[in-house]
Amino acid sequence: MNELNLTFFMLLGYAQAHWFIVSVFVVGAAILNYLAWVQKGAFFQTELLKLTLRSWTGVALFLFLTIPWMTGSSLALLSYWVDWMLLIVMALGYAFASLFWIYPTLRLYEALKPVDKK
Amino acid sequence: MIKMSHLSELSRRRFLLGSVAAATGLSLNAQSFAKQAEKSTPHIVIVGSGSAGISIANRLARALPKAKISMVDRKETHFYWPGLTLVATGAWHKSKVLADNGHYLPNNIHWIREMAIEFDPDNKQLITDTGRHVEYDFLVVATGVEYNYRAIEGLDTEAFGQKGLASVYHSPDVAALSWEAIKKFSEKGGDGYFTLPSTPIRCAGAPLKMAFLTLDRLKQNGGFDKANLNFYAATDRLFGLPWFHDFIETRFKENGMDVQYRQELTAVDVDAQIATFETSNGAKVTKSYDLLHVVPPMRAPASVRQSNLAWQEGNMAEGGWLAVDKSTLQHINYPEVFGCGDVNGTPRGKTAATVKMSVPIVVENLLAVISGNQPTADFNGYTSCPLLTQFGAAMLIEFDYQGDLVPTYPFIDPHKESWLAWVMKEQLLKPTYIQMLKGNV
Repeated sequence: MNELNLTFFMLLGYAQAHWFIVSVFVVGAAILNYLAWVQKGAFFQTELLKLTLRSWTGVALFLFLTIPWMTGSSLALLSYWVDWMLLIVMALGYAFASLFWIYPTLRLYEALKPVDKK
Repeated sequence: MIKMSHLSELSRRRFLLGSVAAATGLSLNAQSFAKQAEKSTPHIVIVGSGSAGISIANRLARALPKAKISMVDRKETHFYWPGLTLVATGAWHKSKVLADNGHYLPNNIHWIREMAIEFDPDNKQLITDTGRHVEYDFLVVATGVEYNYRAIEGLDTEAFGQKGLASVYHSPDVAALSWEAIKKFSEKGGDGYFTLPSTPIRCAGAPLKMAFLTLDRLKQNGGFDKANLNFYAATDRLFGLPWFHDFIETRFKENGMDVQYRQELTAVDVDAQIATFETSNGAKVTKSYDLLHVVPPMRAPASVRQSNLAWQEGNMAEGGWLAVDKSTLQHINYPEVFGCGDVNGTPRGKTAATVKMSVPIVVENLLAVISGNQPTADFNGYTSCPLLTQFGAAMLIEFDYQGDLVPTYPFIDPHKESWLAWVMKEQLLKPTYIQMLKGNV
């Protein structure tokens, strides 16, 4: 229980410390998804989902390579298996979160781009 | 870690109660004592608005809404002490370690913005620097430590940041000034000295972290090949646990650092940049320096040191540390008095991690005494040191009074340097610390 309690409040505290970024992300995702939802046609489209998956892969790879640097460290210092696990979880997790912006953005682009480019 | 077989033995009811306890920040015992004491209206005085004082205030205010709780401390600004190593080595701006005490104190607390200068436990009262007598039914002493820079002859604390003089301990301002001195040294090199006094000190890992991070800055800024580095400890080891002592000493020596033991910094000629060390047999050695990182001798604040609350005999008497039972953290002579944090005269641990683990113990035992019971919670001496070995890597070392390793996350090997431990130190510990202040962790 102790480690679960600590982990919960650690992450809660981290989210509270970055409340502005979290708020921008949540509000932005809500607006983008709402706008994408009210466009004509189905919300989920196969081609867009494929493109989103490719984007997610790119974002995850980018994060995997840059997160250590962004935290004041470097990939060269990752020598312990828990480091690699943490890096993979962080890269995949943040990339997953980015889907809430990427997919509706692609959906909006698809819906709003001029007819001659469709 | 909880084994699944053990988990399955827990009844659903107990598991749910445990969840509630975790959510309220009180153990089941503490909740039981709080319920017994909820109709009483004791006056509880907490002296010291550091991490221990504020955290206890929040927990008590929730547990005993009818109690009168007073906080005695003039300090309006809260220092996040664990972040000062990062300020003094240029990783953080000092604004990142400053906060407003009022922001974290519960609303229903009586905040006496004065300093306690005298304790009179026989009459259950203390006297503040304005002459006010504050009577109490129960007292929590959380005054922290006193930095005794005056014990080092010739040391002018106004000179930090100039002429190669640095100290991570004094304050966030001095930590920031120390970075100026360390930055210059890391570019130009020269003779660098890191000190460690013989007294118990707050965060015993900080002097080691300062040496490790300065080494890293030397390598980054080009001064490493021009530097002659020395670590002069007044103790006979660098770290309390043998394996880690060996690791640190080896790492220092691999980087060309000369490590000497039983050498106490006793005097500094600031203008001439000369430090005097005294060996255990009384011999004096003088060294000229380009960087001197000073770790001051520490002791309990005079108000505690000169009172009946201090140890009168034993190895904690000289520093005047608070005489508490190391398990219950209750005063050995005055059962209505408890101690928490750095002021405690206990064998190990003057860290924020110790505060985090001992605050619930103090609160539970205090509630027990208020409700007419005996203290039930035992503190195992938990302390933790995220030992920064370079920028980007650290070791997460957690241990108890016995020196046994007690990792919170058993899958993290304390003997390994890891990026995860660095992320915890640099990104996650401060948010966790704030949760601790609020009485959640």
